[in-house]
Amino acid sequence: MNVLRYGDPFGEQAREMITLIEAETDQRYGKPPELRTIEERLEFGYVAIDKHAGPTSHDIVNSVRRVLGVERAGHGGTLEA
Amino acid sequence: MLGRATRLTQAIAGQPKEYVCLMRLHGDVKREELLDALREFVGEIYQTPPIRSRVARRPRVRVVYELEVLEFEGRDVLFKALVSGGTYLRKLCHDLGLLLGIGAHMVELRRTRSGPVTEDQAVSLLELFAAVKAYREGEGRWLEEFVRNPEELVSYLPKVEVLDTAVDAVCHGAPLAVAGIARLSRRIEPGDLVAVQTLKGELVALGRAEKSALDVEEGGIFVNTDVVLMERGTYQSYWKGRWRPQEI
Repeated sequence: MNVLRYGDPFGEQAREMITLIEAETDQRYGKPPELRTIEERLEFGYVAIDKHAGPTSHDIVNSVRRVLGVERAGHGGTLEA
Repeated sequence: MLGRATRLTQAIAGQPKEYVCLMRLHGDVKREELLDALREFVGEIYQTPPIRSRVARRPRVRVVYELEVLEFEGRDVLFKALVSGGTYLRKLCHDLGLLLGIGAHMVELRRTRSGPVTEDQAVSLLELFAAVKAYREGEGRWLEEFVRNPEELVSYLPKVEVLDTAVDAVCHGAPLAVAGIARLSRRIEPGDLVAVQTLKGELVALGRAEKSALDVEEGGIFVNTDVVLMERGTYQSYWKGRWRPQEI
């Protein structure tokens, strides 16, 4: 066996939910995430960019901002170290 | 991250990362010896940040969730590592070399996963550009697929689902009381980062748990709101005049 494991990295055990109150939600307010339009996701969303050696994360963010025409963009670290 | 989702940066940093790492040993060891040494590094380990780092250099507890040797040839070890956010693989290779008594260093590193974001979800800038072009020409299919919901980024955090009546107060930065909670994850400990969501599954805010999920019956404040993601006024407010946020 070459795989050594420990713990619960993605909180699988934390998935289980406890219900305190059985409540309904008013459909007049908000919107389930899966119904958001592209325009809404450009204001509240993310894109996973495949970054190759060369441009810095900062350069990438600038390009993404320009390509998508959004004002605000940031990065949460890179996939490639 | 786009628009208001840029506020999620901090939440991403702490999430587990997966790497494929190439390590070079400075001497010869048998496969068994290597595996025995690796076994010592699975679980909680102490790491001091490297000299050239932006954070304070005190030992921190990091977690190595998974180590898998992909290839072992001569002195080269290619392995996959799943570790907690902030773990230094270069340091891990170095320490592994010390334990083996022969020394080792990291040759190459590639991050293949960051929290819920995996390598195969990633698109190139060129693909994104093409998708935007298609969208402007009336075909939004690709852009639709590339621009994702921020809820996915916090899918691994424990959750607290709030009543409609509590949403707007949290949007104004108010702490969340047990009375405003409909459902919550069973495993929440004091100090844990939690995602506050609506009953529709929309992300409202991130906050720190004030108490354990097991003590929820006690009532009182359950989450101290840290970062607000949802825009104020998305839900009706029921709290005006009771709690006044400090306007900055």
